[in-house]
Parts: sequence; structure tokens; C-alpha cells
Amino acid sequence: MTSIETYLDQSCARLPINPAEAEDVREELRSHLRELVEGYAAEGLDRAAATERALTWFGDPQRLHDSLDLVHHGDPWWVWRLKGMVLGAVLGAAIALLLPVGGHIEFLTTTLGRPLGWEAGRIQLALNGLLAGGLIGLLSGARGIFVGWVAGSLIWMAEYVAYLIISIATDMAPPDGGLRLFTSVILSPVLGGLFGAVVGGVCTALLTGASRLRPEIR
Amino acid sequence: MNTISGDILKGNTLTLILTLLGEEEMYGLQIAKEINRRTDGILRFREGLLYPALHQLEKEGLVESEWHFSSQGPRRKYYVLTRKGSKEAARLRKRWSAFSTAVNQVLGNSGD
Repeated sequence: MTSIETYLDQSCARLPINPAEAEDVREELRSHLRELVEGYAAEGLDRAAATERALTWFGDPQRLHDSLDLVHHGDPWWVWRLKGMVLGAVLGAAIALLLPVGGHIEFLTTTLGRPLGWEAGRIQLALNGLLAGGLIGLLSGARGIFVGWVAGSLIWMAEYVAYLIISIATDMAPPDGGLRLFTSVILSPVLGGLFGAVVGGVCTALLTGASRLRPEIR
Repeated sequence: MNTISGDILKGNTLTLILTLLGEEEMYGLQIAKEINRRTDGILRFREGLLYPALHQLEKEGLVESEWHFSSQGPRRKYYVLTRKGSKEAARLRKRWSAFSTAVNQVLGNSGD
């Protein structure tokens, strides 16, 4: 037997609208179906039979999906996610370049014999902004900002681990003590990830009418 | 009882919806029930297909929607006709009237 949620999964899957709007459509259909089920149940049908009858009466989910898809035609879902990713990444990187915050890419480039000088820190942050911003665009949804934050933080942490491995492999001791270690492993990733997530999230929200940041359907 | 569905109904769904919404704001299930009630069940359609029609009307600015919350019942999305929608409803009714008159004239002369 098909449940209401399974039916909704089929009829509302990958509509070319942003997740908040898709949830709005889904909630509208869900509300209708639940009322239908209640009505049939009140007529004496058991729950399973009432649900089956409601779903049958509602129509073929694939046909409903195709009709909704046609009405809300526009860019396919993956195009707006790609747009969000690119816009979030570019703007995240651009804004990050304006912030005079240091990073450890300088160590890497120095090790490779091509020191970048003062702009190294900005490039480092730009990369993090780009990665986190891109991720938030790609993963945007109801929990997009949180996902982007975690992803951005993990990226930054991974970079620091790579930095440590390189420093050990090249016998160059990292120029930091315990405090710097805390800053690099905990504080910077969390702040950097948050920065990238917010920038990327705002960008993708602006791109799709700000509805993606809306936690509740109004 | 014979019911009418399919293409005949599909082609006039928007007229029916706009006409009903011209009387009062309604939610999807209410629209379906009202069509069913007024036609004694002759016009029947898959209720899910109301929503693509409603969304199309909203996209064209002919209707507006708003969620209504109730402490006693489920929350429902109500649709209301816009000024543009009222004009379109009048135009569609006029077109339907001309069409049905023309069809009746042909059927009335068929000798059945």
C-alpha cells in the first residue's frame, strides 16, 4: 500500500523550484490528502482503505508530477543548485579577499619555493570562502547553512592536517605553539566555515528569492 | 450516473475554478467538493490535478494564495481571485457561453 508520504515523494520529486517552495506544494497536497482520508474514514473505511481510496482519487502521482513540473517550468533543479554553487563560491571568494585575515597557505607556498607574501592569508581565506560558499550553494536546503558550516569547518580542519603532515615531512616545524594550534584547528575552521556558509547561503537565497533561508512555511 | 471527465473537463477547469473563486476564497479540496456538489457528481476529475491548475493561475497573477491556520482543523491554503483574475473569469465565461450556445444550436437542429 502506498502511503501519503510516498505518494508525495513521487509527485513532488525534483520540481524545478527551490526547496521551501517545494515543501509548500507538498504541504498543500498533504493537507488535501489527509482531509480526504479523514472523510473516508468517517464514512466507515479503515485507515488503509481510506488512504488507498484518497490516493486513487487524487490521481496518478507521475501525471501530477509532470503537470506540476510543466507549470513550474524553469531551470531544472540541478541548474539552480549549480548557479547557487557558482555564485556562492565567487562572491564568497571575492568578499574573503577583502578581509585581512591570515592563513597557512603561506607556509605551503614558502615550502614550495614560491612565497606569496602578504596576500597569502587573503588567498587562503578566499579559498575557504570559495569552498564553503560553493558547498552551501550545492547543498542548500532547509539545513543548508548548518551543512555549509560543518562542511566549511571540516575543509579547513583537513587543510590544517595537511599542513602539519607537510611540515613534518619537510622537517619544518610549524611556527605555532599550543595557542596557534587551537586557533588553527578549532577557532579558524568554525569561524571560516560559518563565514563561508553565511556568504554562500545568502547568495543562494538571493538567487532564489530569499525563500531558501526561510525556516518555516508561512 | 454518467460522469464527465478527461479532455472536455480539462479544457474548462480554469473557467470553473475562476468562477468559484469569484464567489469566495476557497482551498483546493473545497473547490473540488463544490464542483462535485453543484454538478451532482457529473463533473469528476482527479483532485490532485487541481493543483497544477491553481498554481498556473497563481503564476499568471489571476489568483493569490494564503495559508490559513486553525487550532481545530488542518491548515489550508486558500486561493482568492485578483482583479486580473476577475476579468479573466468574465472573459472565459463569455467564451463558454458562446461555445455552449453554438453547440446547442447544432445539437438542437440534429433532430435527436
